[in-house]
Amino acid sequence: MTTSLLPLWITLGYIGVALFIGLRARGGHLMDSLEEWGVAGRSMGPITLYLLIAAGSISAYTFMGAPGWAYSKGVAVFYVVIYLSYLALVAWYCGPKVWAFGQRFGHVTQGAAIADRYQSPLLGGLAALVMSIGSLAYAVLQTMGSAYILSVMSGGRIPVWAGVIVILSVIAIYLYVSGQRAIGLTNAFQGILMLVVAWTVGLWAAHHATGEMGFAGVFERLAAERPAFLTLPGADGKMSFAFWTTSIIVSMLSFMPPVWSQWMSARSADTIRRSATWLPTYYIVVLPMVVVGFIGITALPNLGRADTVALEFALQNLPSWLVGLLGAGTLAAAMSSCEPFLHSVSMAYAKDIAQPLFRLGDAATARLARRLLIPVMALIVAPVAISEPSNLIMILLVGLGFATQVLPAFIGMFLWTRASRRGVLAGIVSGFSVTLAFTLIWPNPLGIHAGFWGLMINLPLFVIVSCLTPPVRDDVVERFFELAIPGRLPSGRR
Amino acid sequence: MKHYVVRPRSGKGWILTLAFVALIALGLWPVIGWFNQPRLWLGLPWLAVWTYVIVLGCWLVMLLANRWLRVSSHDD
Repeated sequence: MTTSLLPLWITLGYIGVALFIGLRARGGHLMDSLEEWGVAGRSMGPITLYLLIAAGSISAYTFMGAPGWAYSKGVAVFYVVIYLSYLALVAWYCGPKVWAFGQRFGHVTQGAAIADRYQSPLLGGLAALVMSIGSLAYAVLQTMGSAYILSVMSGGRIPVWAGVIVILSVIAIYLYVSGQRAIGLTNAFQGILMLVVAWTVGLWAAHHATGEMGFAGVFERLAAERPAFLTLPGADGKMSFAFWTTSIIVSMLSFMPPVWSQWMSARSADTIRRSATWLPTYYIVVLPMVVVGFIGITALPNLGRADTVALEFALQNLPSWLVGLLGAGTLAAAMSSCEPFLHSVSMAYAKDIAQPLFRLGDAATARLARRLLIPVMALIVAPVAISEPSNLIMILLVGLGFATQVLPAFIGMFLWTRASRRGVLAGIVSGFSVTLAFTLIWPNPLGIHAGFWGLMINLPLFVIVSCLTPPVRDDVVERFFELAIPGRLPSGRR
Repeated sequence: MKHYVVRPRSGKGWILTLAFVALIALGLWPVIGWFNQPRLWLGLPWLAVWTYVIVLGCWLVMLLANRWLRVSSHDD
Protein backbone atom coordinates (compact mmCIF):
# COMPACT_ATOMS: atom_id res chain seq x y z
CA MET A 1 0.00 0.00 0.00
CA THR A 2 1.20 3.51 -0.80
CA THR A 3 1.43 6.26 1.82
CA SER A 4 1.68 9.19 -0.61
CA LEU A 5 -1.59 10.88 -1.60
CA LEU A 6 -0.30 11.81 -5.06
CA PRO A 7 -1.36 8.51 -6.75
CA LEU A 8 -4.85 8.91 -5.27
CA TRP A 9 -5.19 12.50 -6.53
CA ILE A 10 -4.05 11.48 -10.01
CA THR A 11 -6.55 8.60 -10.04
CA LEU A 12 -9.39 10.80 -8.75
CA GLY A 13 -8.39 13.44 -11.32
CA TYR A 14 -8.83 10.84 -14.05
CA ILE A 15 -12.33 10.01 -12.73
CA GLY A 16 -13.22 13.72 -12.76
CA VAL A 17 -12.05 14.13 -16.37
CA ALA A 18 -13.97 10.98 -17.46
CA LEU A 19 -17.13 12.32 -15.80
CA PHE A 20 -16.73 15.72 -17.48
CA ILE A 21 -16.18 14.15 -20.92
CA GLY A 22 -19.07 11.74 -20.44
CA LEU A 23 -21.50 14.54 -19.54
CA ARG A 24 -20.29 16.79 -22.37
CA ALA A 25 -20.68 13.95 -24.87
CA ARG A 26 -24.45 14.51 -25.04
CA GLY A 27 -23.78 17.71 -27.03
CA GLY A 28 -27.39 18.92 -27.12
CA HIS A 29 -28.82 15.68 -28.52
CA LEU A 30 -32.16 14.49 -27.16
CA MET A 31 -31.77 11.08 -25.54
CA ASP A 32 -35.44 10.12 -25.83
CA SER A 33 -34.99 7.28 -28.33
CA LEU A 34 -32.89 4.12 -28.44
CA GLU A 35 -31.59 5.28 -31.80
CA GLU A 36 -29.86 8.13 -29.92
CA TRP A 37 -29.20 6.75 -26.42
CA GLY A 38 -28.48 3.23 -27.66
CA VAL A 39 -26.44 3.69 -30.84
CA ALA A 40 -25.56 7.42 -30.81
CA GLY A 41 -27.74 8.15 -33.83
CA ARG A 42 -25.39 5.93 -35.89
CA SER A 43 -22.99 8.86 -36.06
CA MET A 44 -19.54 7.77 -34.93
CA GLY A 45 -16.56 8.47 -37.18
CA PRO A 46 -13.61 6.12 -37.77
CA ILE A 47 -11.24 7.47 -35.09
CA THR A 48 -13.83 7.50 -32.30
CA LEU A 49 -15.03 4.04 -33.33
CA TYR A 50 -11.44 2.74 -33.44
CA LEU A 51 -10.77 3.94 -29.89
CA LEU A 52 -14.24 2.84 -28.72
CA ILE A 53 -13.77 -0.76 -29.85
CA ALA A 54 -10.07 -0.87 -28.89
CA ALA A 55 -10.53 0.52 -25.38
CA GLY A 56 -13.65 -1.60 -24.88
CA SER A 57 -11.71 -4.77 -25.66
CA ILE A 58 -8.77 -3.82 -23.41
CA SER A 59 -10.07 -4.42 -19.91
CA ALA A 60 -8.43 -4.38 -16.49
CA TYR A 61 -7.09 -7.74 -17.66
CA THR A 62 -4.41 -5.93 -19.68
CA PHE A 63 -3.08 -4.06 -16.66
CA MET A 64 -3.57 -6.78 -14.04
CA GLY A 65 -4.41 -10.18 -15.52
CA ALA A 66 -2.00 -10.12 -18.48
CA PRO A 67 1.08 -9.20 -16.38
CA GLY A 68 -0.16 -11.88 -13.96
CA TRP A 69 -0.27 -14.48 -16.75
CA ALA A 70 3.24 -13.49 -17.88
CA TYR A 71 4.39 -13.78 -14.25
CA SER A 72 2.87 -17.22 -13.68
CA LYS A 73 2.83 -18.82 -17.18
CA GLY A 74 5.06 -16.81 -19.56
CA VAL A 75 4.53 -16.28 -23.32
CA ALA A 76 1.18 -18.11 -23.19
CA VAL A 77 -0.25 -14.65 -22.45
CA PHE A 78 0.22 -13.65 -26.12
CA TYR A 79 -2.81 -15.71 -27.18
CA VAL A 80 -4.84 -12.67 -26.11
CA VAL A 81 -3.13 -10.43 -28.67
CA ILE A 82 -3.76 -13.00 -31.41
CA TYR A 83 -7.47 -13.44 -30.72
CA LEU A 84 -7.96 -9.67 -30.40
CA SER A 85 -6.44 -9.29 -33.87
CA TYR A 86 -8.76 -12.00 -35.19
CA LEU A 87 -11.70 -10.15 -33.63
CA ALA A 88 -10.68 -7.24 -35.88
CA LEU A 89 -11.02 -9.57 -38.92
CA VAL A 90 -14.45 -10.60 -37.65
CA ALA A 91 -15.39 -6.93 -37.19
CA TRP A 92 -14.18 -6.13 -40.73
CA TYR A 93 -16.37 -8.90 -42.24
CA CYS A 94 -19.47 -8.88 -40.01
CA GLY A 95 -19.52 -5.28 -38.71
CA PRO A 96 -20.61 -3.61 -41.99
CA LYS A 97 -23.40 -6.18 -42.41
CA VAL A 98 -24.66 -5.63 -38.85
CA TRP A 99 -24.57 -1.89 -39.46
CA ALA A 100 -26.55 -2.31 -42.69
CA PHE A 101 -29.16 -4.51 -40.96
CA GLY A 102 -29.53 -1.93 -38.20
CA GLN A 103 -29.72 1.00 -40.57
CA ARG A 104 -32.22 -0.67 -42.93
CA PHE A 105 -34.38 -2.57 -40.41
CA GLY A 106 -34.01 -0.32 -37.35
CA HIS A 107 -32.27 -2.82 -35.05
CA VAL A 108 -30.56 -1.29 -32.02
CA THR A 109 -29.71 -4.51 -30.16
CA GLN A 110 -28.30 -7.91 -31.00
CA GLY A 111 -31.47 -9.59 -29.69
CA ALA A 112 -33.62 -7.47 -32.02
CA ALA A 113 -31.58 -8.63 -35.03
CA ILE A 114 -31.91 -12.29 -33.99
CA ALA A 115 -35.67 -11.91 -33.36
CA ASP A 116 -36.11 -10.31 -36.79
CA ARG A 117 -34.00 -12.83 -38.77
CA TYR A 118 -35.76 -15.83 -37.23
CA GLN A 119 -39.16 -14.11 -36.79
CA SER A 120 -39.07 -15.13 -33.14
CA PRO A 121 -39.20 -12.58 -30.29
CA LEU A 122 -38.80 -15.59 -28.00
CA LEU A 123 -35.42 -16.51 -29.54
CA GLY A 124 -34.30 -12.85 -29.43
CA GLY A 125 -35.36 -12.49 -25.79
CA LEU A 126 -33.77 -15.79 -24.81
CA ALA A 127 -30.47 -14.86 -26.47
CA ALA A 128 -30.55 -11.44 -24.77
CA LEU A 129 -31.32 -12.94 -21.37
CA VAL A 130 -28.58 -15.52 -21.40
CA MET A 131 -26.03 -13.15 -23.00
CA SER A 132 -26.73 -10.82 -20.08
CA ILE A 133 -25.36 -13.39 -17.61
CA GLY A 134 -21.89 -13.19 -19.13
CA SER A 135 -22.22 -9.42 -19.59
CA LEU A 136 -23.15 -8.81 -15.95
CA ALA A 137 -20.38 -11.10 -14.69
CA TYR A 138 -17.93 -9.16 -16.87
CA ALA A 139 -19.23 -5.81 -15.55
CA VAL A 140 -18.95 -7.05 -11.95
CA LEU A 141 -15.35 -8.19 -12.49
CA GLN A 142 -14.37 -4.80 -13.93
CA THR A 143 -16.14 -2.99 -11.06
CA MET A 144 -14.26 -5.12 -8.54
CA GLY A 145 -11.00 -4.30 -10.35
CA SER A 146 -11.84 -0.57 -10.25
CA ALA A 147 -12.64 -0.64 -6.53
CA TYR A 148 -9.43 -2.56 -5.83
CA ILE A 149 -7.38 0.09 -7.68
CA LEU A 150 -9.03 2.90 -5.69
CA SER A 151 -8.29 1.03 -2.48
CA VAL A 152 -4.61 0.53 -3.38
CA MET A 153 -4.14 4.10 -4.62
CA SER A 154 -5.66 5.51 -1.43
CA GLY A 155 -3.45 3.34 0.78
CA GLY A 156 -6.55 1.51 2.01
CA ARG A 157 -8.41 4.72 2.93
CA ILE A 158 -11.17 3.99 0.40
CA PRO A 159 -12.68 0.57 1.23
CA VAL A 160 -13.87 -1.68 -1.58
CA TRP A 161 -17.58 -1.01 -0.92
CA ALA A 162 -17.03 2.76 -1.18
CA GLY A 163 -14.95 2.31 -4.35
CA VAL A 164 -17.74 0.27 -5.95
CA ILE A 165 -20.28 2.99 -5.16
CA VAL A 166 -18.04 5.81 -6.44
CA ILE A 167 -17.20 4.07 -9.73
CA LEU A 168 -20.75 2.90 -10.48
CA SER A 169 -22.21 6.31 -9.59
CA VAL A 170 -19.86 8.10 -11.98
CA ILE A 171 -20.62 5.63 -14.79
CA ALA A 172 -24.38 5.80 -14.05
CA ILE A 173 -24.43 9.60 -14.27
CA TYR A 174 -22.77 9.93 -17.65
CA LEU A 175 -24.37 6.82 -19.14
CA TYR A 176 -27.85 8.03 -18.14
CA VAL A 177 -27.23 11.50 -19.52
CA SER A 178 -25.32 10.71 -22.73
CA GLY A 179 -25.74 6.97 -23.45
CA GLN A 180 -23.61 5.53 -26.25
CA ARG A 181 -22.15 8.97 -26.99
CA ALA A 182 -20.63 8.98 -23.49
CA ILE A 183 -19.18 5.51 -24.05
CA GLY A 184 -17.69 6.67 -27.36
CA LEU A 185 -15.97 9.79 -26.03
CA THR A 186 -14.88 8.40 -22.65
CA ASN A 187 -13.49 5.29 -24.35
CA ALA A 188 -11.57 7.51 -26.78
CA PHE A 189 -10.01 9.36 -23.82
CA GLN A 190 -9.42 6.13 -21.91
CA GLY A 191 -7.91 4.45 -24.98
CA ILE A 192 -5.29 7.19 -25.44
CA LEU A 193 -4.55 7.26 -21.69
CA MET A 194 -4.04 3.47 -21.57
CA LEU A 195 -1.62 3.52 -24.50
CA VAL A 196 0.50 6.30 -22.95
CA VAL A 197 0.45 4.78 -19.46
CA ALA A 198 1.26 1.23 -20.59
CA TRP A 199 4.31 2.26 -22.61
CA THR A 200 5.57 4.73 -19.99
CA VAL A 201 5.27 2.15 -17.20
CA GLY A 202 6.70 -0.68 -19.34
CA LEU A 203 9.76 1.25 -20.53
CA TRP A 204 10.38 2.77 -17.08
CA ALA A 205 10.14 -0.65 -15.42
CA ALA A 206 12.49 -2.22 -18.01
CA HIS A 207 15.01 0.60 -17.51
CA HIS A 208 14.76 0.20 -13.75
CA ALA A 209 15.32 -3.57 -14.00
CA THR A 210 18.03 -3.73 -16.68
CA GLY A 211 19.38 -0.20 -17.16
CA GLU A 212 18.23 -0.32 -20.82
CA MET A 213 15.43 1.54 -22.61
CA GLY A 214 14.22 -1.66 -24.23
CA PHE A 215 12.94 -5.11 -23.35
CA ALA A 216 15.85 -7.27 -24.60
CA GLY A 217 17.66 -7.43 -21.25
CA VAL A 218 14.52 -8.74 -19.53
CA PHE A 219 14.12 -11.64 -21.96
CA GLU A 220 17.86 -12.41 -22.20
CA ARG A 221 17.91 -13.00 -18.46
CA LEU A 222 14.80 -15.22 -18.66
CA ALA A 223 16.23 -17.22 -21.58
CA ALA A 224 19.33 -17.90 -19.51
CA GLU A 225 17.68 -18.59 -16.14
CA ARG A 226 14.00 -19.56 -16.71
CA PRO A 227 13.52 -20.70 -20.35
CA ALA A 228 10.20 -22.43 -19.54
CA PHE A 229 8.59 -18.97 -19.47
CA LEU A 230 9.46 -18.48 -23.18
CA THR A 231 7.55 -21.47 -24.56
CA LEU A 232 4.24 -23.33 -24.32
CA PRO A 233 2.87 -24.98 -22.21
CA GLY A 234 4.36 -22.26 -19.97
CA ALA A 235 5.97 -22.31 -16.57
CA ASP A 236 2.92 -23.89 -14.90
CA GLY A 237 2.46 -26.41 -17.75
CA LYS A 238 -1.21 -25.54 -18.28
CA MET A 239 -1.28 -23.86 -21.73
CA SER A 240 -1.03 -26.81 -24.13
CA PHE A 241 -1.20 -26.34 -27.92
CA ALA A 242 -4.77 -27.70 -27.78
CA PHE A 243 -5.89 -25.16 -25.18
CA TRP A 244 -4.07 -22.29 -26.96
CA THR A 245 -5.74 -23.17 -30.28
CA THR A 246 -9.26 -23.78 -28.97
CA SER A 247 -9.18 -20.73 -26.67
CA ILE A 248 -8.37 -18.50 -29.65
CA ILE A 249 -11.12 -20.05 -31.80
CA VAL A 250 -13.75 -19.80 -29.06
CA SER A 251 -12.79 -16.22 -28.14
CA MET A 252 -12.82 -14.93 -31.73
CA LEU A 253 -16.30 -16.39 -32.32
CA SER A 254 -17.90 -14.70 -29.28
CA PHE A 255 -20.20 -11.98 -30.56
CA MET A 256 -20.78 -10.07 -27.32
CA PRO A 257 -23.72 -7.60 -27.37
CA PRO A 258 -21.69 -4.41 -26.71
CA VAL A 259 -19.59 -5.07 -29.81
CA TRP A 260 -22.81 -5.32 -31.80
CA SER A 261 -23.94 -1.92 -30.44
CA GLN A 262 -20.54 -0.43 -31.27
CA TRP A 263 -20.80 -1.58 -34.90
CA MET A 264 -24.31 -0.13 -35.15
CA SER A 265 -23.08 3.21 -33.77
CA ALA A 266 -20.84 3.76 -36.81
CA ARG A 267 -21.55 6.50 -39.30
CA SER A 268 -21.33 4.09 -42.22
CA ALA A 269 -20.30 0.59 -43.24
CA ASP A 270 -16.98 2.01 -44.49
CA THR A 271 -16.31 3.55 -41.09
CA ILE A 272 -16.39 0.09 -39.49
CA ARG A 273 -14.04 -1.36 -42.12
CA ARG A 274 -11.54 1.44 -41.62
CA SER A 275 -11.66 1.19 -37.82
CA ALA A 276 -11.36 -2.61 -37.90
CA THR A 277 -8.39 -2.36 -40.27
CA TRP A 278 -6.40 -0.29 -37.77
CA LEU A 279 -7.60 -2.13 -34.64
CA PRO A 280 -4.68 -4.63 -34.51
CA THR A 281 -2.22 -1.73 -34.24
CA TYR A 282 -3.74 -0.81 -30.87
CA TYR A 283 -2.82 -4.15 -29.33
CA ILE A 284 0.82 -3.12 -28.96
CA VAL A 285 -0.60 -1.74 -25.70
CA VAL A 286 -0.40 -5.27 -24.25
CA LEU A 287 3.37 -5.76 -24.79
CA PRO A 288 4.83 -3.32 -22.23
CA MET A 289 2.47 -4.42 -19.47
CA VAL A 290 3.31 -8.05 -20.15
CA VAL A 291 7.00 -7.15 -19.86
CA VAL A 292 6.33 -5.81 -16.35
CA GLY A 293 4.96 -9.26 -15.49
CA PHE A 294 8.13 -10.89 -16.88
CA ILE A 295 10.29 -8.51 -14.81
CA GLY A 296 8.30 -9.57 -11.73
CA ILE A 297 9.39 -13.21 -12.18
CA THR A 298 12.85 -12.33 -10.88
CA ALA A 299 12.09 -9.08 -9.01
CA LEU A 300 9.09 -10.35 -6.98
CA PRO A 301 9.55 -14.14 -6.78
CA ASN A 302 7.25 -14.75 -3.80
CA LEU A 303 4.14 -12.82 -4.77
CA GLY A 304 0.88 -14.22 -3.32
CA ARG A 305 -1.44 -13.04 -6.13
CA ALA A 306 -0.02 -13.07 -9.66
CA ASP A 307 -2.46 -10.42 -10.95
CA THR A 308 -1.06 -7.81 -8.55
CA VAL A 309 2.46 -8.06 -10.02
CA ALA A 310 2.34 -4.81 -12.04
CA LEU A 311 0.91 -2.77 -9.16
CA GLU A 312 3.29 -4.32 -6.60
CA PHE A 313 6.29 -3.67 -8.83
CA ALA A 314 5.17 -0.08 -9.37
CA LEU A 315 4.55 0.55 -5.67
CA GLN A 316 7.99 -0.77 -4.74
CA ASN A 317 10.08 0.64 -7.56
CA LEU A 318 8.43 3.48 -9.49
CA PRO A 319 7.92 7.18 -8.57
CA SER A 320 4.59 8.22 -7.04
CA TRP A 321 3.41 10.11 -10.12
CA LEU A 322 3.91 7.03 -12.27
CA VAL A 323 2.10 4.84 -9.73
CA GLY A 324 -0.78 7.32 -9.95
CA LEU A 325 -0.73 7.15 -13.75
CA LEU A 326 -0.76 3.34 -13.60
CA GLY A 327 -3.76 3.55 -11.25
CA ALA A 328 -5.53 5.91 -13.66
CA GLY A 329 -4.67 3.70 -16.66
CA THR A 330 -5.88 0.54 -14.94
CA LEU A 331 -9.06 2.28 -13.84
CA ALA A 332 -9.56 3.54 -17.41
CA ALA A 333 -9.21 -0.02 -18.71
CA ALA A 334 -11.73 -1.33 -16.19
CA MET A 335 -14.28 1.45 -16.70
CA SER A 336 -14.01 1.45 -20.51
CA SER A 337 -14.93 -2.25 -20.53
CA CYS A 338 -17.54 -2.07 -17.77
CA GLU A 339 -19.73 0.71 -19.16
CA PRO A 340 -20.55 -0.84 -22.59
CA PHE A 341 -21.72 -4.04 -20.85
CA LEU A 342 -23.96 -2.15 -18.39
CA HIS A 343 -25.40 -0.12 -21.27
CA SER A 344 -26.06 -3.18 -23.44
CA VAL A 345 -27.71 -5.14 -20.60
CA SER A 346 -30.12 -2.27 -19.89
CA MET A 347 -30.94 -1.98 -23.58
CA ALA A 348 -31.41 -5.73 -24.00
CA TYR A 349 -33.72 -6.03 -20.98
CA ALA A 350 -35.85 -3.12 -22.21
CA LYS A 351 -35.85 -3.75 -25.97
CA ASP A 352 -35.59 -7.54 -26.29
CA ILE A 353 -37.51 -8.68 -23.20
CA ALA A 354 -39.79 -5.95 -21.78
CA GLN A 355 -40.97 -4.46 -25.08
CA PRO A 356 -42.36 -7.68 -26.63
CA LEU A 357 -43.57 -8.95 -23.24
CA PHE A 358 -45.52 -5.82 -22.24
CA ARG A 359 -46.13 -4.46 -25.77
CA LEU A 360 -44.41 -1.17 -25.00
CA GLY A 361 -44.10 1.67 -27.50
CA ASP A 362 -40.65 2.80 -28.71
CA ALA A 363 -40.59 5.94 -26.53
CA ALA A 364 -41.55 3.99 -23.39
CA THR A 365 -38.91 1.36 -24.20
CA ALA A 366 -36.22 4.04 -24.55
CA ARG A 367 -37.20 5.58 -21.19
CA LEU A 368 -37.19 2.15 -19.57
CA ALA A 369 -33.72 1.30 -20.94
CA ARG A 370 -32.21 4.46 -19.37
CA ARG A 371 -34.00 3.91 -16.07
CA LEU A 372 -33.03 0.24 -15.91
CA LEU A 373 -29.38 1.30 -15.57
CA ILE A 374 -29.99 2.21 -11.93
CA PRO A 375 -31.55 -1.08 -10.73
CA VAL A 376 -29.07 -3.12 -12.80
CA MET A 377 -26.21 -1.32 -11.04
CA ALA A 378 -27.76 -0.95 -7.57
CA LEU A 379 -29.44 -4.34 -7.25
CA ILE A 380 -27.13 -6.63 -9.22
CA VAL A 381 -23.66 -5.26 -10.00
CA ALA A 382 -22.94 -3.34 -6.76
CA PRO A 383 -24.01 -6.01 -4.23
CA VAL A 384 -22.23 -8.78 -6.14
CA ALA A 385 -19.06 -6.68 -6.55
CA ILE A 386 -19.01 -5.72 -2.86
CA SER A 387 -19.42 -9.35 -1.79
CA GLU A 388 -16.39 -10.26 -4.00
CA PRO A 389 -17.62 -13.77 -4.88
CA SER A 390 -14.94 -16.38 -5.36
CA ASN A 391 -16.85 -18.21 -8.12
CA LEU A 392 -17.39 -15.17 -10.31
CA ILE A 393 -14.70 -16.25 -12.76
CA MET A 394 -16.67 -19.46 -13.18
CA ILE A 395 -19.87 -17.52 -13.89
CA LEU A 396 -17.96 -15.41 -16.40
CA LEU A 397 -16.46 -18.45 -18.15
CA VAL A 398 -19.89 -20.06 -18.44
CA GLY A 399 -21.32 -16.77 -19.70
CA LEU A 400 -18.62 -16.35 -22.34
CA GLY A 401 -18.92 -20.01 -23.25
CA PHE A 402 -22.58 -19.38 -23.95
CA ALA A 403 -21.76 -16.31 -26.04
CA THR A 404 -19.90 -18.56 -28.45
CA GLN A 405 -22.82 -21.00 -28.57
CA VAL A 406 -25.01 -18.29 -30.17
CA LEU A 407 -22.82 -18.70 -33.29
CA PRO A 408 -25.54 -20.54 -35.31
CA ALA A 409 -27.78 -17.48 -35.09
CA PHE A 410 -25.03 -15.45 -36.77
CA ILE A 411 -24.21 -18.10 -39.37
CA GLY A 412 -27.86 -17.88 -40.39
CA MET A 413 -27.56 -14.11 -40.59
CA PHE A 414 -24.33 -13.81 -42.58
CA LEU A 415 -23.60 -17.10 -44.36
CA TRP A 416 -26.40 -19.68 -44.72
CA THR A 417 -29.95 -18.94 -45.87
CA ARG A 418 -31.38 -22.31 -44.80
CA ALA A 419 -30.74 -21.80 -41.04
CA SER A 420 -34.06 -22.32 -39.25
CA ARG A 421 -35.42 -21.10 -35.93
CA ARG A 422 -35.50 -24.60 -34.46
CA GLY A 423 -32.04 -25.38 -35.80
CA VAL A 424 -30.59 -22.33 -34.07
CA LEU A 425 -32.43 -23.16 -30.86
CA ALA A 426 -31.22 -26.78 -30.93
CA GLY A 427 -27.64 -25.66 -31.53
CA ILE A 428 -27.69 -23.05 -28.77
CA VAL A 429 -29.31 -25.30 -26.14
CA SER A 430 -27.08 -28.32 -26.86
CA GLY A 431 -23.91 -26.22 -27.11
CA PHE A 432 -24.68 -24.38 -23.89
CA SER A 433 -25.41 -27.62 -22.02
CA VAL A 434 -22.12 -29.17 -23.14
CA THR A 435 -20.16 -25.99 -22.30
CA LEU A 436 -21.80 -25.85 -18.89
CA ALA A 437 -20.97 -29.50 -18.14
CA PHE A 438 -17.40 -29.20 -19.41
CA THR A 439 -16.84 -26.06 -17.33
CA LEU A 440 -18.40 -27.11 -14.03
CA ILE A 441 -18.26 -30.92 -13.90
CA TRP A 442 -15.34 -32.02 -16.11
CA PRO A 443 -13.32 -28.87 -16.90
CA ASN A 444 -11.85 -28.69 -20.41
CA PRO A 445 -11.50 -32.45 -21.22
CA LEU A 446 -8.29 -33.45 -23.07
CA GLY A 447 -7.03 -29.90 -22.59
CA ILE A 448 -9.61 -28.55 -25.06
CA HIS A 449 -11.62 -25.43 -24.20
CA ALA A 450 -15.15 -26.23 -22.96
CA GLY A 451 -16.68 -23.77 -25.44
CA PHE A 452 -15.01 -25.63 -28.31
CA TRP A 453 -16.54 -28.93 -27.15
CA GLY A 454 -19.87 -27.09 -27.10
CA LEU A 455 -19.38 -25.94 -30.71
CA MET A 456 -18.56 -29.49 -31.85
CA ILE A 457 -22.03 -30.61 -30.72
CA ASN A 458 -23.77 -27.34 -31.46
CA LEU A 459 -22.86 -26.84 -35.13
CA PRO A 460 -23.70 -30.33 -36.50
CA LEU A 461 -27.00 -30.33 -34.61
CA PHE A 462 -27.78 -26.83 -35.91
CA VAL A 463 -27.24 -27.96 -39.51
CA ILE A 464 -29.19 -31.23 -39.17
CA VAL A 465 -32.19 -29.69 -37.38
CA SER A 466 -32.24 -26.73 -39.80
CA CYS A 467 -32.42 -29.10 -42.77
CA LEU A 468 -35.24 -31.09 -41.14
CA THR A 469 -37.43 -28.15 -40.05
CA PRO A 470 -39.17 -25.38 -42.01
CA PRO A 471 -36.95 -22.43 -42.99
CA VAL A 472 -37.75 -18.83 -42.13
CA ARG A 473 -40.11 -17.02 -44.57
CA ASP A 474 -38.52 -16.30 -47.95
CA ASP A 475 -39.13 -12.54 -47.87
CA VAL A 476 -37.33 -12.25 -44.51
CA VAL A 477 -34.33 -14.31 -45.66
CA GLU A 478 -34.14 -12.37 -48.93
CA ARG A 479 -34.07 -8.95 -47.28
CA PHE A 480 -31.27 -10.06 -44.92
CA PHE A 481 -29.15 -11.72 -47.61
CA GLU A 482 -29.62 -8.86 -50.00
CA LEU A 483 -27.34 -7.01 -47.58
CA ALA A 484 -25.18 -9.94 -46.43
CA ILE A 485 -23.89 -11.03 -49.83
CA PRO A 486 -20.40 -9.63 -50.53
CA GLY A 487 -20.43 -6.74 -52.94
CA ARG A 488 -24.03 -5.76 -52.26
CA LEU A 489 -23.35 -3.81 -49.11
CA PRO A 490 -23.87 -0.08 -49.14
CA SER A 491 -20.50 1.68 -49.02
CA GLY A 492 -21.86 4.62 -47.07
CA ARG A 493 -24.99 6.03 -45.46
CA ARG A 494 -28.12 5.61 -47.54
CA MET B 1 -36.50 -19.97 -52.61
CA LYS B 2 -33.29 -21.81 -53.46
CA HIS B 3 -31.11 -21.86 -50.36
CA TYR B 4 -27.35 -21.38 -50.47
CA VAL B 5 -24.14 -20.74 -48.55
CA VAL B 6 -22.65 -17.28 -49.13
CA ARG B 7 -19.39 -17.43 -51.11
CA PRO B 8 -17.05 -14.83 -52.60
CA ARG B 9 -18.23 -13.68 -56.02
CA SER B 10 -14.91 -12.69 -57.56
CA GLY B 11 -11.28 -13.78 -57.76
CA LYS B 12 -10.24 -11.01 -55.38
CA GLY B 13 -12.97 -12.10 -52.99
CA TRP B 14 -11.58 -15.63 -52.97
CA ILE B 15 -8.01 -14.34 -52.44
CA LEU B 16 -9.15 -12.27 -49.45
CA THR B 17 -11.10 -15.19 -48.01
CA LEU B 18 -8.06 -17.45 -48.30
CA ALA B 19 -5.84 -14.72 -46.81
CA PHE B 20 -8.18 -14.41 -43.79
CA VAL B 21 -8.18 -18.19 -43.31
CA ALA B 22 -4.39 -18.36 -43.69
CA LEU B 23 -3.91 -15.60 -41.10
CA ILE B 24 -6.07 -17.51 -38.64
CA ALA B 25 -4.15 -20.73 -39.31
CA LEU B 26 -0.86 -18.90 -38.61
CA GLY B 27 -1.89 -18.34 -34.99
CA LEU B 28 -2.97 -21.92 -34.27
CA TRP B 29 -1.39 -25.34 -33.91
CA PRO B 30 0.56 -26.74 -35.79
CA VAL B 31 2.09 -23.47 -37.07
CA ILE B 32 2.47 -22.04 -33.58
CA GLY B 33 4.49 -25.13 -32.63
CA TRP B 34 7.23 -24.18 -35.12
CA PHE B 35 7.87 -20.98 -33.15
CA ASN B 36 7.68 -22.58 -29.73
CA GLN B 37 11.41 -22.22 -29.02
CA PRO B 38 13.11 -20.60 -25.99
CA ARG B 39 15.03 -18.31 -28.35
CA LEU B 40 15.04 -14.57 -28.89
CA TRP B 41 14.88 -12.44 -32.01
CA LEU B 42 15.35 -8.67 -31.77
CA GLY B 43 15.35 -9.15 -28.00
CA LEU B 44 11.87 -10.73 -27.90
CA PRO B 45 10.81 -14.40 -27.53
CA TRP B 46 10.03 -16.10 -30.85
CA LEU B 47 6.39 -16.59 -29.89
CA ALA B 48 6.01 -12.87 -29.09
CA VAL B 49 7.61 -11.89 -32.41
CA TRP B 50 5.33 -14.32 -34.27
CA THR B 51 2.31 -12.86 -32.46
CA TYR B 52 3.13 -9.39 -33.72
CA VAL B 53 3.85 -10.74 -37.23
CA ILE B 54 0.23 -11.98 -37.20
CA VAL B 55 -0.95 -8.58 -35.91
CA LEU B 56 0.91 -6.91 -38.77
CA GLY B 57 -0.49 -9.45 -41.25
CA CYS B 58 -4.08 -8.78 -40.15
CA TRP B 59 -3.56 -5.04 -40.55
CA LEU B 60 -1.98 -5.37 -44.02
CA VAL B 61 -4.59 -7.80 -45.35
CA MET B 62 -7.44 -5.53 -44.25
CA LEU B 63 -5.67 -2.52 -45.80
CA LEU B 64 -5.42 -4.45 -49.06
CA ALA B 65 -9.05 -5.53 -48.78
CA ASN B 66 -10.18 -1.93 -48.33
CA ARG B 67 -8.19 -0.89 -51.38
CA TRP B 68 -9.73 -3.66 -53.45
CA LEU B 69 -13.21 -2.81 -52.30
CA ARG B 70 -12.51 0.78 -53.33
CA VAL B 71 -13.93 2.06 -50.11
CA SER B 72 -14.98 5.62 -50.65
CA SER B 73 -14.04 8.22 -48.09
CA HIS B 74 -16.49 10.96 -48.98
CA ASP B 75 -19.09 9.88 -46.40
CA ASP B 76 -16.71 10.13 -43.44
